[in-house]
Amino acid sequence: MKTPVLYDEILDCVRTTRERWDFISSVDACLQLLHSSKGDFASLVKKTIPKKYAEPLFEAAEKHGIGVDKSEDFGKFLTELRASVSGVPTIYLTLAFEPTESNLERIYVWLKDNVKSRFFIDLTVNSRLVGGCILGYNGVIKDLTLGSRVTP
Amino acid sequence: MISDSAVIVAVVVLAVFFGLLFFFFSFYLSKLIMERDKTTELVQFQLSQQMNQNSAKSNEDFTKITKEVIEASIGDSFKIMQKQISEVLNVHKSVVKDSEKTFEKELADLRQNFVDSSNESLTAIKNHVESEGALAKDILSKKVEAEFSKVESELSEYKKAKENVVENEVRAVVNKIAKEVLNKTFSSSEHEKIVIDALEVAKKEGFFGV
Repeated sequence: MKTPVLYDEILDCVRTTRERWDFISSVDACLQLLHSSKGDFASLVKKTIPKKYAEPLFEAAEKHGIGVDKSEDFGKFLTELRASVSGVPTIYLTLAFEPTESNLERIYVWLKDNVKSRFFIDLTVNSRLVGGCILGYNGVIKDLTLGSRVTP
Repeated sequence: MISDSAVIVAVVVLAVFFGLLFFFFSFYLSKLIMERDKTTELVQFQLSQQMNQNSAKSNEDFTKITKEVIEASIGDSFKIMQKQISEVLNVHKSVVKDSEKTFEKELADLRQNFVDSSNESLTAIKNHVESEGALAKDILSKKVEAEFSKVESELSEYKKAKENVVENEVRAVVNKIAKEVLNKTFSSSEHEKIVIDALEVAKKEGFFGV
């Protein structure tokens, strides 16, 4: 699924299915605040949603001239953003180790460079595996572990 | 005048006289009747004798004539009857002969029909048996093939299952050894490098559709 450039900039901070769940929850919270609060909406949003999602959100909105204070425009923007997340395909990745943030980022970047469409990583750790990973994409599973290579 | 006694005597004498007269007369009459009866019997006897003689003769004649008549009659009747019997016999023979011919012909036809029918039945039975035999052979062959392929399939499955068991056991042993040897020595960056290498392999194999 091809997402608009505007949303691609924001969604770069959403790499895994878990982060997608967090992000959708944050967007839902924003939408709720947008309908209920009458005060300084921008500061309320910054306090409510995690920084890693709030910063790119406001940067992208500002960059594209969407005023955070204009609740109607921002509400529409959030609703479309939320909808763009739905239907994005998932890459299932099972690792033999618990990746650090930097490990995850580099793996994500590699995938982003080599998989042309938007995706989320469904990450699982299986300590019984011997090195490498097991990949699942478009209904196909591939065992790329060292164990599969050293055993018949 | 005549006395009473004289009258009485006279009456008595007269009575006796007439009595005697009646006696003799009756005696004589009965004698005559007896003679007449004797004569009658004699005559009757003679007559009967003569009649018997005549009758016997007549009987003989009658018998002779009757016999002649009967013989003549019987002779004619016998001849007629013989002729009729002969004719009847001839007709009968002819009918019997015809019947025999008809019967023989019908028997021959029946025999021929029976033979034809039997031949047809035998041919049909033969064809049926042949087709049934072929069918049975075909079924048997298919069953044998099915059983054979089933056994082959079961053997193949058994072999595969055994191979899987062995493979799993080998994999488990190798994994255990590799894990003990490799995982303990790999850092997270080395793990990451192995993952990226694996992803490169997947990319080269077209896994991501690129």
